[in-house]
Amino acid sequence: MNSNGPLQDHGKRRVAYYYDSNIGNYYYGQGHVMKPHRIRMTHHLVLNYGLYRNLEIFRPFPASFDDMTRFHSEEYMTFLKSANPDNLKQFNKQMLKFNVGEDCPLFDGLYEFCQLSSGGSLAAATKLNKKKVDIAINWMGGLHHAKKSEASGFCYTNDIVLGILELLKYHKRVLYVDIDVHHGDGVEEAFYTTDRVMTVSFHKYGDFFPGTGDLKDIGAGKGKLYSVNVPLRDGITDTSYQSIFKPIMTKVMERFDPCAVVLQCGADSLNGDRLGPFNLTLKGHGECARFFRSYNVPLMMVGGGGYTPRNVARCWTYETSIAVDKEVPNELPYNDYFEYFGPNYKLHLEASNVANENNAELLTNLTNDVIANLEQLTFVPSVQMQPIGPDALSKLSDDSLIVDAADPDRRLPSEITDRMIQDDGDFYDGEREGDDRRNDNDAKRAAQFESEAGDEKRQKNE
Amino acid sequence: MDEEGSRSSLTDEEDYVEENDNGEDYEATIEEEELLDEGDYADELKDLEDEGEMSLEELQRKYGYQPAGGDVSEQNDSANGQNNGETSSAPNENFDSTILDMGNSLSGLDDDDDDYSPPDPWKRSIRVDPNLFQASVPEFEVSYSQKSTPREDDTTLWTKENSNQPDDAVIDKYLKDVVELRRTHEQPVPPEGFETRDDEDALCALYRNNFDTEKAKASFPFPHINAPFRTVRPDALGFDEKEHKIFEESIEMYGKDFSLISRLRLPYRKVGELIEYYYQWKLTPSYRAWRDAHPQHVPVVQPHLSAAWHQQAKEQETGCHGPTSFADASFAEQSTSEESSTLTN
Repeated sequence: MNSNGPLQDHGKRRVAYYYDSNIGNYYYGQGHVMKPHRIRMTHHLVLNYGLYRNLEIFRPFPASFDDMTRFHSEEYMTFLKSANPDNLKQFNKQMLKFNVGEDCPLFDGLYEFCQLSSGGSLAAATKLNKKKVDIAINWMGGLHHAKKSEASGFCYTNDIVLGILELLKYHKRVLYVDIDVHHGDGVEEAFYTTDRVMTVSFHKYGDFFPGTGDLKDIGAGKGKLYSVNVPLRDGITDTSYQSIFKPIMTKVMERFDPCAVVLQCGADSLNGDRLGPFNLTLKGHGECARFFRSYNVPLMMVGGGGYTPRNVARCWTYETSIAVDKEVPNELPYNDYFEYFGPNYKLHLEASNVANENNAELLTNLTNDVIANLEQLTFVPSVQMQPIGPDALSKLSDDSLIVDAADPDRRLPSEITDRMIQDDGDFYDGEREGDDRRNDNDAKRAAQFESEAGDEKRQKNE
Repeated sequence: MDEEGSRSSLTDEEDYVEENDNGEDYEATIEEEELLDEGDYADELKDLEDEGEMSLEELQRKYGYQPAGGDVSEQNDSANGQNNGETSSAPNENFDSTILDMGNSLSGLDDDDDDYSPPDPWKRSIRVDPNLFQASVPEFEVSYSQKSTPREDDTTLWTKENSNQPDDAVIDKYLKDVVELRRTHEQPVPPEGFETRDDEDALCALYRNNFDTEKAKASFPFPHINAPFRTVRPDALGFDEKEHKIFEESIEMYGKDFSLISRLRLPYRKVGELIEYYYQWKLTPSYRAWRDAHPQHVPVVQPHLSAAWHQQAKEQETGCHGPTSFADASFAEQSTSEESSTLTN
């Protein structure tokens, strides 16, 4: 209904932006890497780049206790509401239970902070429900680690889950996409058993917080196949990232056909982050926002991680400019916090030359595995041999069109050939003759998936 | 009792948590045991006391201060002592740091974290229980009904909804006029050449006057429409010389524990006001002078320092940033932000 494939024009989008200036006046504690001040820095860049006048600006009504208990347990919210640095001693037991105290310290104004962050996402979702705007932005939100009754990873209340729950009232299927360097475990857990929300997370996996997000975690019960995890390694670059993001997300848009999309824009996947080991620049990161903007589907953009505040402000400002489709100069405008952006005072970041541990083979296999799972989504045996109906999206991504039109004297782009997976039992010679280790259906891969996934994929590719 | 079993496996972080969680029961447990078994408690109690004292000393030596409300750590210490009396193998130090970490108090700048090894393997799975972990998904409604969203409305500060919204040139002209107005009213104005930058208050006035620039200008002076009214008192004045001096002194004493500074030194300032001032102060020459005078500054007193979190230490380790523990990380933060010309926070 809503998504009819990407629009080719840079159509006008009405963009709502939620901000409360109190947000920068909360402080997690000395030495804590999470600094809400970065949201104020973002806001000042948005103002001084002249993006502000292209937005619709709202100060959200703070989320109420009842708003937040739509997901969180009453006991947990009561604790967050009543505990503060002056009385924390009487809450020792609860602090352990709710995981407040270590990386999620009890700071002054914590409950208010949660109300603002969650209020922004709830307001954004409501605005999208009313169809008043096409895109709604809340950089105060994106706190994707918070669980139903537990704080985690600097997150206390999960504004994203609250926002999605609101969207679900009027949208049959909601897609959640997470490009934070950390796995979006809180959102995935909340919707692990439903098929109305698909969660897709691209994240660093292996010896890394929060430890969830294995490729094999695909959801449970009715939600099986509706959790998608793309585990990555250190040093991924813009090109590598897009080489995996686009094919997967194109397939997701095709198969899941979401009625609304929530994009978590965690900026800790950028180069130079204090916690994240990825090597993205604003361009590669922003490309993900651009991807969803090109679809005619209600989009909510929220913040998230990001522990080098000046780069977070750069990133979210740039992504605000993408939402309103305004070019912004690389020279940063003068603003109240200008000195923070030294020494170069430019918007864009340079990638570093750190090693990219995600080689092409790894990424190709990963893409294939994820896509194989997605192929199962609408798989109905009687439809198996029928061609997929006409669909603007599949036209764009259909490899066969490119293969058909290709110059026989030239090698096909590796992007295409990588996706040509041959069954060992095939008799004809394909693009890659003989031994092709890259696409071998070896035992290891087969074991990673339930066997139907592999079988079906091979059938599809015949 | 079950607790016996968990006590012996003191390397297991999970067990600590369990145990600590049940901390309140210790007294009762001890009494129970006293009834069951007629051992010589004199020695045991003495051991407990000794150990309790020892770890307190250790604490003081390690952390270099007396906790603000010593009773909690004392309580924990005696609980600890009891445990150790029963299972003599307990690494006392380790236990202390765990409890204190939970209490959100100190060990952030300590070496204790080096002893900690994260739960192995670094792997977790999503938990499934609709009552405990999953969200309950609402019914799908076909069309939007006003009644089902009782949320109060947000405050609109600017919108393009209105069809008579002026184009950029008109807005620019209006903003320039507003700068003039501000100047004549001795309000702060943007630097020369930046008069047309978006001004929240001026644009809001324009929106609220139905995009009539003359009416909007007539409504001057504009209210500060997105002021941080929760965290800063509306009548709060700027910091004067004296307050500024107290502020710098306090940062030196307590570090960036704004909650404590507000309580002890500037009680008429809200915590939010201090935080806001802190970020402005960092942009001033006065901060640079202060920084140069306090290279690698470590606060004298650190009562409420947010405790170390181990995964961050781990992340720092695996990341390209170098520091091997959170303790290092927080120092690194200070030194980089204070030494380089770039401000990091």
